[in-house]
Amino acid sequence: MRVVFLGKGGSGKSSLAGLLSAELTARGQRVVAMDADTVPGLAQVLGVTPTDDWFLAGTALRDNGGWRLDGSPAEIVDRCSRESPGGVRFLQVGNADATLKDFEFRRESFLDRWSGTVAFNTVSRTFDDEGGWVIIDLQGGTLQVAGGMVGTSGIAVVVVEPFAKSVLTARRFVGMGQWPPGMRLVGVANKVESAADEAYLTTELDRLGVPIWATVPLDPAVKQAERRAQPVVTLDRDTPARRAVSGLADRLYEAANAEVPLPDAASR
Amino acid sequence: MTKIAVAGKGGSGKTTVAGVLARLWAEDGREVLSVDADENPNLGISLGLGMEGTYGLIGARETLLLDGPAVSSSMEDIVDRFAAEAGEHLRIVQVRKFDQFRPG
Amino acid sequence: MLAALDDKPGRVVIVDLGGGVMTVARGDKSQIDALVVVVEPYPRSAEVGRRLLDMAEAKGIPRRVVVANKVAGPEDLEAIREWLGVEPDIVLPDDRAVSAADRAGASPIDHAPGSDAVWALRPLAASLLA
Repeated sequence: MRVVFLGKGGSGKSSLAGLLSAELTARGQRVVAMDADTVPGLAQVLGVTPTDDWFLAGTALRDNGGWRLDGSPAEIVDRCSRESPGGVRFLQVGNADATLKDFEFRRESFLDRWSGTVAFNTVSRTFDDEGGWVIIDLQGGTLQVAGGMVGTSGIAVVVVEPFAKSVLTARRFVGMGQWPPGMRLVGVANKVESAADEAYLTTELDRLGVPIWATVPLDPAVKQAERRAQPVVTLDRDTPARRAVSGLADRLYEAANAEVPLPDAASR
Repeated sequence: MTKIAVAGKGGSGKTTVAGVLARLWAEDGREVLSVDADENPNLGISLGLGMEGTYGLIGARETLLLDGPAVSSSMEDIVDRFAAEAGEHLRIVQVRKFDQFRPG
Repeated sequence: MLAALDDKPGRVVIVDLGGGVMTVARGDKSQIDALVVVVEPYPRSAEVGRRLLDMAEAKGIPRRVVVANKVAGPEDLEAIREWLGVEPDIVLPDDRAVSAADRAGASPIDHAPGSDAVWALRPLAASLLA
């Protein structure tokens, strides 16, 4: 099952994608998580040490003016992913920083990184682990969604904060045109501080026809963990945010037509 | 002419900062052209145009790609064509709004 | 685009470059007089800020200004100093009035013109045009 997180920048996609990955792993599920942002975010949430590499560099090869993958998506994931302390297999598109002053100019390294981007885009769209979960954390904004990065099957989770700019972004996703029939668009209300916030987002998402599958409160524990660069996934499963994400996992299970397991399924 | 750019991680408050600066300059009597280069443009909200006003702004790039510029258009002409009034001495132009699925 | 605009004396052009580093990483940025980098007191936000500052320097943008935003106390400011390695030029407090404006879809300058955050931006507005 593919679950893709989208939303305005800063809405909390990476934190929620990471928490969901951890929740599913705790339930004994197999999880591959991918970060489509060129500045590491999900890595920190999961407790994976960010590196300089473009994970998939060189895994797409030039072929008659186009590109082809050097292997199947599953082979590439096996080869290039890194495992988080919690057992999540993790892939990142790459890392864009100032040491990449050769970003535009030095041909071999540019092509290497570009091939990595091409491969990542293909793998994130097509890799579907039979019986396992694939969690994709897209870059904030509409660019990647407009470019088809959500793919054609699975659940697209739009993360919305109780601010007009965040709602406006959700409006743009909904109004983007014909969504692929295999994709289902659902919402998560995030960083909700009050009943008024919850009512506001319920009204707005209702108006857009997007069902809310979880309401995540503004959680001081999450804020503190991020502030200290502590992996959010190490937080107690009892904190408000994790409990809300557990509810999201339940909804996703239903959608995947699986039985809702008890949280301690991992012990079976 | 002074050219200022604002950047930061998504959600850091950069658009709010850009919008408030633009309004401060305009209220001081300066002629201000605000340019929203975000592909998910929200600067209109921080300028005071509201959600509907911002949602309705057109993106220059898409329209230019579809219609093409007029033969003798200068950049000023293009800006004049696409910029919206956001107050006295204040205009906004959205460069590239990615709000439609595009194949490839 | 900036290069192609008429050089109208007294005009100010302000560009919101969008989130992330890619808009600054790509292309010629030599037309920009000053880049304002906005950073929150979180490592991931500071990481992006750090990269933006490095890229701006590499691209020859003459002036880089750091705005520390949503600063709730001295520890926040100290954290930003440590992560960025520079002293922020402007500090904007964590202001409930600004979040209220954000919720309402309004500009803080309309919704909360007397707020601390708006007042803290006035000297920056003046300084950028100096």
